[in-house]
Amino acid sequence: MEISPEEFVRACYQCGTCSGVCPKARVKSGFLPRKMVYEIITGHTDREIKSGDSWDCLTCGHCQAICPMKVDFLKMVQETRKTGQNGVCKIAHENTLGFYKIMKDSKVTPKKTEFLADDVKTNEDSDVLYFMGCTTYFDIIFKEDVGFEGMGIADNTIRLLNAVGITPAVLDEEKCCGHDQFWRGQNRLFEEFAKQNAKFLKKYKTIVTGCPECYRTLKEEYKALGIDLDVKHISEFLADHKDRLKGKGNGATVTFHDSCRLGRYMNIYDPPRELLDAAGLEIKEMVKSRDEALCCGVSAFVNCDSENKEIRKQKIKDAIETGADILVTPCPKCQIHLKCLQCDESEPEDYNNIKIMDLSTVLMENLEPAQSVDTSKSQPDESGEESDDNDGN
Amino acid sequence: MEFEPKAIVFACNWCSYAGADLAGVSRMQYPTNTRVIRTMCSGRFDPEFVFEAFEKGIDGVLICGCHPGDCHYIEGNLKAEKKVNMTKELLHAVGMDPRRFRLEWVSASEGSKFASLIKEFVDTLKELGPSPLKKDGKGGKSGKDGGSSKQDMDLSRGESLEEEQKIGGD
Ligand code: SF4
Ligand code: SF4
Ligand code: FES
Repeated sequence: MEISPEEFVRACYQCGTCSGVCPKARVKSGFLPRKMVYEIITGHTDREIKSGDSWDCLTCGHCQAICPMKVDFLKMVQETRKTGQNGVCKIAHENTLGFYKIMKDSKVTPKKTEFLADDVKTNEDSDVLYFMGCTTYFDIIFKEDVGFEGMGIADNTIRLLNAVGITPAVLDEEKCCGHDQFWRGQNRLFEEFAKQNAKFLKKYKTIVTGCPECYRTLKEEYKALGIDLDVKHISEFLADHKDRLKGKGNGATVTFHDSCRLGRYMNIYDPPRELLDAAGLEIKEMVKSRDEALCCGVSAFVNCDSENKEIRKQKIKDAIETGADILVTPCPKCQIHLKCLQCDESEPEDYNNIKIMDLSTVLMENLEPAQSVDTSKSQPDESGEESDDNDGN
Repeated sequence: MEFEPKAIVFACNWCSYAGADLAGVSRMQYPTNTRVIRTMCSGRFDPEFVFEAFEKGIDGVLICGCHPGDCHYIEGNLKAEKKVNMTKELLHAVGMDPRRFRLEWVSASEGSKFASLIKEFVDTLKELGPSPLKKDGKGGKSGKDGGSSKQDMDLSRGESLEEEQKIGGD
């Protein structure tokens, strides 16, 4: 069933609130969400121009969150991208990210488990699957140049699960969730990934993701394809088992970046904060946080340019202003985009006054299993208190 | 019939291509499984070349450049080396055997090295068998690729880069 972009936007009464909050509109003159809606409703411009504009959108969802008429902006942008592949879409790192061309083939099986650290415990027969996402690949691509610790995210997420008594399954046959392909309008490729993933995802009762993008995609986009799954973000999952963890609390101050996919898309604001708090860290909020949190500046690697860089600069400035030691981001890609700016030697200003770390890594460093509470509160069928390697229940 | 792999060789204009030429004019014998594409420098190599070649069903890719220090663009070959190492890791992670992809230094005077290199590479590819992405149905399970399965590799790259290949029959 095809619905044209127009269907989602008819309700717009051109108030312009969206243009007021759009971070991209602030840095790129001429880009106005309201105008985009207007052009789509009235059909005053040809498709080429419409899609050109839609490629500039960050899909951050600020506009949608504030629109009084609840215009489904993101759906509109996605649909427009789908129809107008020929617009000005520049994908950063496109050449290197070309490995998706091989991955999409069902005859190749990626390698995932062999990259994990030795101390993490996994068990293929568990009910809980940890969906690792593309951290392995991004680790290879970005580790050396921007210092992105992809495998650290995966390892620490599993360690956290281990700490609450879960031994998750991790599968080699896992393909990319297809988030980027979806938001680039490459729906056929996205559906191919979904089809291949669905084969094994359905076997598991709960799927835990570390990446907000995987989370959103598996939970919502897959549902739209008829693949119903119980997906939980690691912060959501751990918050349910918070009593099994206790903070080591070195009292560092952190500030939390609500990434678009976790925050505005999926409304998860409190679980990560509760966990950071439980870990004994002091949270300092940025001027714009929660549903108003500024986007990191790029999504799906689309149109990363000097204008988007301004947004990234603003984001890091906001974080530095809080005086926190660490900027915690749940999204691996936000981490890549922000660290990229920190590594940029052509920048006159220094953005290195704050450490950027992944949520799982920060939590793992500051939390430990609370073994005494473990047995009394919940019912993990564990054999001994001193060993935390029991089966996933 | 014995499996005959198909491989692409990217050879830099100043050393390796001349080396291949020397192998030719000296009438050295080497397998005909490769097609040579000339690049100005091995630094022209782009990971996309490999991904796209494999996507289209090629069995192996070989990059040849000047020896370190000899690159006519000073350090193009060192840059190539960095990219090649990363690409190999990616190929491994994504499930392709990284032995299908190699980087070698061949100078203009090393005709015999070029010939033996090709022999060796083709032997490795024969040992590895057809690429799992091979579209003629021999590698892996039968290809039900809707229309895009070409029996013969089109090495001229006539078509423009499309955002996505046609996937699946449905
Ligand atoms: S905020 Fe909503 S109603 Fe107002 S102009 Fe934007 S899309 Fe239209
Ligand atoms: S999704 Fe974000 S970048 Fe795109 S129009 Fe809305 S506010 Fe602007
Ligand atoms: S010119 Fe031969 S490798 Fe650069």
